[in-house]
Amino acid sequence: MSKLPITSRRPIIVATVIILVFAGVLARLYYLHVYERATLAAVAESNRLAFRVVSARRGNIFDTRGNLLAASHTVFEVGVDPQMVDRADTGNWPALAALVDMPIDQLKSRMLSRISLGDGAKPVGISPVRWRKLADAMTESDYSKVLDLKIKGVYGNRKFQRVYPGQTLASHFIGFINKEQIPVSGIERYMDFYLSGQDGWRETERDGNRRELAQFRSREIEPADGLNVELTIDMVVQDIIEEELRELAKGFSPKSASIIVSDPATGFILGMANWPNFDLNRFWKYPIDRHRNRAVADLYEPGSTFKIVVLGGAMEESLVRPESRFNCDLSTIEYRGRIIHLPEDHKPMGELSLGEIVSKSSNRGAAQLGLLLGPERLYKYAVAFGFGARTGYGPGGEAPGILHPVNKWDSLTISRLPVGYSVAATPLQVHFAMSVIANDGVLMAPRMVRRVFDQEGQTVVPFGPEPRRRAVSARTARTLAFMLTRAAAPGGTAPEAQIMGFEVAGKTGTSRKIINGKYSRYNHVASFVGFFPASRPRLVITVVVDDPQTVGPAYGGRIAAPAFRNIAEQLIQYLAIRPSPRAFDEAVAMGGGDVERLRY
Amino acid sequence: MSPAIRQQTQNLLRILTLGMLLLLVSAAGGLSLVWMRQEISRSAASIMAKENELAGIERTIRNIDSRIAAHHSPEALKAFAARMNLGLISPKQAQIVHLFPRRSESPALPDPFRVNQELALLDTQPNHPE
Repeated sequence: MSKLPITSRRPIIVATVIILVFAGVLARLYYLHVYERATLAAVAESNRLAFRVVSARRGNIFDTRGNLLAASHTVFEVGVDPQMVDRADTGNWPALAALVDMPIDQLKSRMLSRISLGDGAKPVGISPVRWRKLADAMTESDYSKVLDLKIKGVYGNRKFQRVYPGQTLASHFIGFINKEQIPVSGIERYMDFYLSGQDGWRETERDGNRRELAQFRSREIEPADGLNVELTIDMVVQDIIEEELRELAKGFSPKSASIIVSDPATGFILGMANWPNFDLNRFWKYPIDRHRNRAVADLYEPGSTFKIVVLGGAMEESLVRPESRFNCDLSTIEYRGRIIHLPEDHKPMGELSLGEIVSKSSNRGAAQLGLLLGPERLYKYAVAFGFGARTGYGPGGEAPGILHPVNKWDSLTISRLPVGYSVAATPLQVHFAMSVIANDGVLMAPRMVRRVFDQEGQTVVPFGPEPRRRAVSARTARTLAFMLTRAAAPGGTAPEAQIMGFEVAGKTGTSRKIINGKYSRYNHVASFVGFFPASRPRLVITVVVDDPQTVGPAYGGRIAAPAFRNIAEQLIQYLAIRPSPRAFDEAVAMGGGDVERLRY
Repeated sequence: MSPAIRQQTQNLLRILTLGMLLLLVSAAGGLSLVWMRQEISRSAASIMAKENELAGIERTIRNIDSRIAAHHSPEALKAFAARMNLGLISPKQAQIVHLFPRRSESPALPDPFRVNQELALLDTQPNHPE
């Protein structure tokens, strides 16, 4: 039997190879487990562990009757991981393109571009792309259709989107959340502390397919959803005034217009609207100029509506009585040793009583009252009625107005301020100045929010009426209210504000606009501020129309007063406001017949 | 068999039995642990599925609420009335009969009962002086 020739080297070579192989394995193990341990452990850990922020849902905004004005929807941001795309799914791509509303070529390009070459902001270099957005805010039903297509690599991330069911309704008042989920304006910004809630988080593990392994949830903090906010505005009241604004815009093509409705006793704003407005759901499609809440941000010279201040002041200081008479034909008057030129009236007025100065809106009469009061007291009452300072409108963006201190007055101010020039105010300031008369002389702070409440409806933070100061006595306020009813009566400046069966108190304003540094004869701000029933005021309504286009002068009584009446008539029915007994009796005397049914 | 060998055999058998029992208990314990973990996983997955289902229902409710709100907005209702040719108009002042003075006179403080006919009639009874 012959022996195979085995050299003595062969076992050594085999053994060496085996040892080298094992050594290589050991070296690799050493490299993985010791040398690169920290890095690789971190990679493995990050792949396995997941820290997820669970977003809190933003609270809803309701009107005073529980109608939803703003809510948060769940939508999906849909995208694709190009590394996972399988060309076998291309048959479903057209359906996907239709769902994400994207041309098929663009979709293909997004699905197939697997690398990024960087952009200007990042260093240039090739990196794999793991996410390309296909749709920003897809509804849940559409997203389930996307999932039904079973296209590999296409998935979505849930997120909240703010939705405003009323669209343009109360847009300036409610405000909006921008795409970065930052509250920009209105109640959304003002109440963000309560609305936003507190995000939760979850520490958990996931499998190789990135699915959560619920059994390995180690730490979990539940999100606390935002609280809900109930506003003082009423959706129907808001709609009525927005409809009237549309009519004003259609009839007079003004630059802008604002209407405010509030309850004088509480300062609760029932409606506030501006024209032009914008759709809260598509705020980015409108010029930023439209986002401004003109009722609190735009200044104008209030004109004759300011006369309530000088009248109230003169009566409060017992300088005049309702039956006091003034010669309103005077064009100049001597005051403290110098001749003061009185502002013009639109026609000669003759001698007028205090009530007639109001009802006929005599500038010369009001200027004489201002001279009687003197600069210091005139300034004091202007401040007391809320001019020259913010009203306290919470959502912000409010202008303080312009009311110069007496030491900065020029020689004309003492005769121009009583007729509403040399002072600038927002529609809201003028509105609350009139509310002083309607509220027995007390200036209230505007209230926009009634309460903040939780998911069970329990009130967390109540907001009540907030009186700011007494501007004039109740007696003065009531006397002035009675005088103001004559402005909205036949022979007054605003007979068109009259409502059958109701005493309407109000004041018109027609102020010239400054164009190219001069007061224009053709550009006006027409306004009417009024309340009713005058004997027990329930509502104050302000209508301000900036630069209405009309044939002839744009008087407040012609432009704004009819809008006031239209709104008031609808609100009387909606809010079941009872007629005034005295006005009712007058209405019976005038018309009889049907109005007999008004008796209660 | 000598007593010593018998004793040794019994000890060996005892050790073997105990060993077998130990193995059995260990195996059963191990399997129980696996079963328990599987059950925990299954329960956790089931709870997660229920949670997701609940969250989905809540989302649906919220979406429906928003859609109802959109359909109840004055603009939508007016458009609906026009589309259906309902010819709705506001009542005239003379058509309104005020049955009793409202307790709450403030329009900013809505009184949900004021439209309730029964309550309105009740309030006209003598024991309700208003």
